[in-house]
Amino acid sequence: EKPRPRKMGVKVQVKQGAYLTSLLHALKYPSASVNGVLLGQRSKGEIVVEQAVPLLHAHLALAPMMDAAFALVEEHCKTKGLKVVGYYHANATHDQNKFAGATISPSMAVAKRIADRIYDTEKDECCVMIVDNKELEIISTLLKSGSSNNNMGKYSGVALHTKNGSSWQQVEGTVEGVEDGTAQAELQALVTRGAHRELTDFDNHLDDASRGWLTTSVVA
Amino acid sequence: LTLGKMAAELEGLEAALARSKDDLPTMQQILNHVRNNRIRRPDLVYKCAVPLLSRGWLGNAQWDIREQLFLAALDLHKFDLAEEQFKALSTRFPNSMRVRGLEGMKYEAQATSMALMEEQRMQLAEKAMSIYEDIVAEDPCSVTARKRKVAALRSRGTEEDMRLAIMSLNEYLNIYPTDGDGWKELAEMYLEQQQLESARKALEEVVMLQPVSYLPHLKLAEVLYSLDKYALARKYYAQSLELNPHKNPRASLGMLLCTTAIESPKSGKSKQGDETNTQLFDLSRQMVLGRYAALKPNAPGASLAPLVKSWLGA
Repeated sequence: EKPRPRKMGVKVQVKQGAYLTSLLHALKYPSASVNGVLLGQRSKGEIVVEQAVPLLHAHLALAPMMDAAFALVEEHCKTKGLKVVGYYHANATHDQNKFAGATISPSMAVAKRIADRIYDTEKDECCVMIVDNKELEIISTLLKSGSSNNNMGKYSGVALHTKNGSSWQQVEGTVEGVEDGTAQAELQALVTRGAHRELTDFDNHLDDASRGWLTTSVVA
Repeated sequence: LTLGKMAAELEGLEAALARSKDDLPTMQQILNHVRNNRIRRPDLVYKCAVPLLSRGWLGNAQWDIREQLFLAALDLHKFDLAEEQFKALSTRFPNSMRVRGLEGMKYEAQATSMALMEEQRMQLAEKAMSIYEDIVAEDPCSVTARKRKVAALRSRGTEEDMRLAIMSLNEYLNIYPTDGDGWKELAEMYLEQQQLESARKALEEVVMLQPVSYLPHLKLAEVLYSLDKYALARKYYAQSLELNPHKNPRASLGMLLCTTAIESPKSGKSKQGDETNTQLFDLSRQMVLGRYAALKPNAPGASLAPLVKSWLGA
């Protein structure tokens, strides 16, 4: 008897702009947890993440401002023909940031709750991007060493996940520009010119409504 | 001094520094502003403190700045620079508990450096912890060491560390029950663990201690909203708005969402709202729309106005 084909995992592709935005957000607030929503498209068996929208850098567990942000994100999606396809999260703790599998780190409880809520609302495949702080440090060391480094392509600084039953599972996915190191180099260039300071998340926009959020980006 | 004002002042100072790069008085102003308002900008501190200290005319003012630079250097993982400041501080203040606490922070920071092996990192973390415990043993009233211990445990993030951090902070608050910052920190730790009811109790303490401050009322409202207790959340949103009606966007937005949730419960029950609810809904809706209407048309944030209007059916 022929063996049943295993369910093919959802493929995830992250555009460079979305990747850079989420890391700039994390780098703007290195001592805080930050999060954001991922927008893009779904097609058969694939999620393409086109835009990362920075949300909060404080009190991520609280619902009201998340609800307000999502209301505006939905309006934005309507005008741009985008869908909510996932969530990103960069935790404050240096490690103990296990998100995949049935048992997660206690410090990731908030991330899981929000990710699950987005998945339940969308009722479709979603991607969760978790920033890996240790990998970021490795990237930083490789960038500092200057010489073109063949190892750089192995480190993106983010871990991609899709839902598998009731838990999230890490998947390989592709992040545009990581393999040949151009994305990491661009990140360095952006940080050097202070783009992370200019980045506006929803919290920043609430403090000062004249700052552009959602419809504007510091990444070209 | 609201958060917005603080940020604007800092931006002004940064712009002034960008215009005249070697302006030492501006650098000193920036360092004072950052220190007094407890803003965490290690990049700015590094940029300002290093030139100031190398000039050598600061006299006694240098020690606050050296401490500030020490902490910034730890954040930036510039451990040699941190060590330099630490040596200067411990030479000048040989038996200081405060400097001892800084030593603990040095080990804490080094413990996160990926340049070291796992075992070395663990040893450094333990070293830091034992310094704080020694200080507390010598001086049981020590506020800094107790708080530092809680912060160190919290940043380690394991389940056991988090449990100990919460326990230690509760111990501290037993001794200092009027420390509003302590209760706020406790609330934050509970929120990280998704323990909303416990966070609520901690924030209620803050509201009791700071009854005319708009921020604790707002935070408590947000926790109550997150617990689906909309009627109670509405009361605290209202109180926060009364204390700060004009620069309180989270409260006006929160009030809008709260009154909507009361009017149309998600559970599908029939309308629950009353006249007061409708009035509060209308008021908060006006506040939110007004905020965007007041923006200059070329402000980047003004591009959100159509989305806001579409959302609120305006």
